[in-house]
Amino acid sequence: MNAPILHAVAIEKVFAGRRGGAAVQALKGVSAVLHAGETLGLVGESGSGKTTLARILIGIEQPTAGEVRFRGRPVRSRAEWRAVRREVQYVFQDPFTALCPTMPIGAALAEPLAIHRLCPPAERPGQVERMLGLVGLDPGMARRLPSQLSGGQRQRVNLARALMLEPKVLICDEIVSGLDVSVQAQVLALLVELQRKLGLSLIFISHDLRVIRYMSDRVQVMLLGETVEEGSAAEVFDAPRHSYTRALLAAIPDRNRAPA
Amino acid sequence: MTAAASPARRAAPGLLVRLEIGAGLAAGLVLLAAIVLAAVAAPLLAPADPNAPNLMAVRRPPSAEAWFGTDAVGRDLFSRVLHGARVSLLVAGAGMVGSLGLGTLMGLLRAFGPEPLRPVVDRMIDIQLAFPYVLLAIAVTSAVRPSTPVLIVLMVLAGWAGAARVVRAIALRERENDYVKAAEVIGASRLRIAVRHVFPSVWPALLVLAAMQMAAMIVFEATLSFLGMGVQPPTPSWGGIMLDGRQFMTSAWWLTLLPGLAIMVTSLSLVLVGDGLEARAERLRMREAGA
Repeated sequence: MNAPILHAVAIEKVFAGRRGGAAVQALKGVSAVLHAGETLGLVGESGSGKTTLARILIGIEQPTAGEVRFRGRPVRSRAEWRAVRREVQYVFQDPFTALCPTMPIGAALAEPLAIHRLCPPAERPGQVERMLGLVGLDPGMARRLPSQLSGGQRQRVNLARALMLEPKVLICDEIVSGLDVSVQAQVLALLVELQRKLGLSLIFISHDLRVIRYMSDRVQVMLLGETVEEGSAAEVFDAPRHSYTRALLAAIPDRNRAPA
Repeated sequence: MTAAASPARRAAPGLLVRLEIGAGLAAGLVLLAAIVLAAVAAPLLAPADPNAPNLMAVRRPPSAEAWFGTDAVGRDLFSRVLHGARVSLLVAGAGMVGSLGLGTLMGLLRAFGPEPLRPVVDRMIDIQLAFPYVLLAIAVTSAVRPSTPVLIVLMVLAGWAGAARVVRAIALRERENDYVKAAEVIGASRLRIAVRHVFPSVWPALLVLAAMQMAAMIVFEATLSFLGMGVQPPTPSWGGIMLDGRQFMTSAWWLTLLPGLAIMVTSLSLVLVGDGLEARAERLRMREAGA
């Protein structure tokens, strides 16, 4: 197989305990590999370290040990992270807090273009409109504030903003877990369609195995800061090797429904 | 009550209702506007030269020809109070703008500036807040002759730390939100995050603080003038007029009471504006949450 585009190498992360409390080891030497064009599903229960790993992969958190490599090169300094974020973007879990409450949608979407000076100011509204269309939102949304949007609309805006820089890699952290089931399906379908159109590599994080199965080429199962199993989606779902994976699979609501 | 009021609101939402301007805020704004207007137009409105003595008519009580009476050297008190408003409003207004500007800068610097500067800013705020500002004023005015610019600098020194503390608290709270991290992820600099993303959240609190600080500064300026550390005579200022009238407090009440009333009404109007803005921000939040 070709070289990984994004590579987390033996990441450890310890959060200092609050006020004399015990330190928490969130990640215990986890590695993750993302190849160009594929979707990696990260699955595990709350507290398994999925989100911490994702935040380290985009540089919002710094690992205690280990390193992140982008196209084979380690990323360490602020300047290096800045460069990487031209090509790797992150969609936050909570659509209600990830958008600046005082900034209209159009301005929020135009901001990445302005920061990276990607196109002349006069062309930005057109770009914003195009992107709103791409994620299935009305161009009139550009004038609205986040508080005037529903959760699903906001998550589309978040997605649109991450895509403004035309990234190669998109990290989606539980982006549908806060949404209604019908809206979840729409956002997931949109993501698959965008991946095909734009040639994205995806890291998709969820605790919902049905969503992971729908989205992923490869799956990595995490438990208490460690990887317990990884492999192709078919391997993991059809022939799970680790007992925790089997327990997770057994917990899918309608999987083991007794035949009528 | 709300149910009964809301259909009427929907039927004919007046401008005041649409902008969520309550009665207190409206009253405060009208009063403040009248005072500012009177101060600006003082040379036109004043019936006499505020500094022209008339030894034939000293300490006359308020009457039809001299509304506020005359002072110890026969100057028309109404004209002096009108002109005194110019000094008070200029010093308090410029001091308020300056202190909020400096305070905002320091507060944002504390939350978003370079790591080594943060404890420095914290200690500067602590020291400034711990230092009694009248003592500071005495120290400064004993070194330099008090004048309007000196008074403005004193106002800024007295007010910036309070503003910085408020801005720091809001900025630190907002900094923890995902939208700040999201802005980092799309490549925004810390300066950009502070100015474009976080400052708009600070703004409503800053408006309330502006009114409250200006009210406090009207009183502070009057205090300094009353202690003889304000604008020097014969230029009239409210505190200065009261100082002139202090020795006649028992025999000529109008010399101290009327400028005192001017101070009270002005700071009252500002407090009304401040309280009104705070209540308005709360109602706007509720409306947003309800919408």
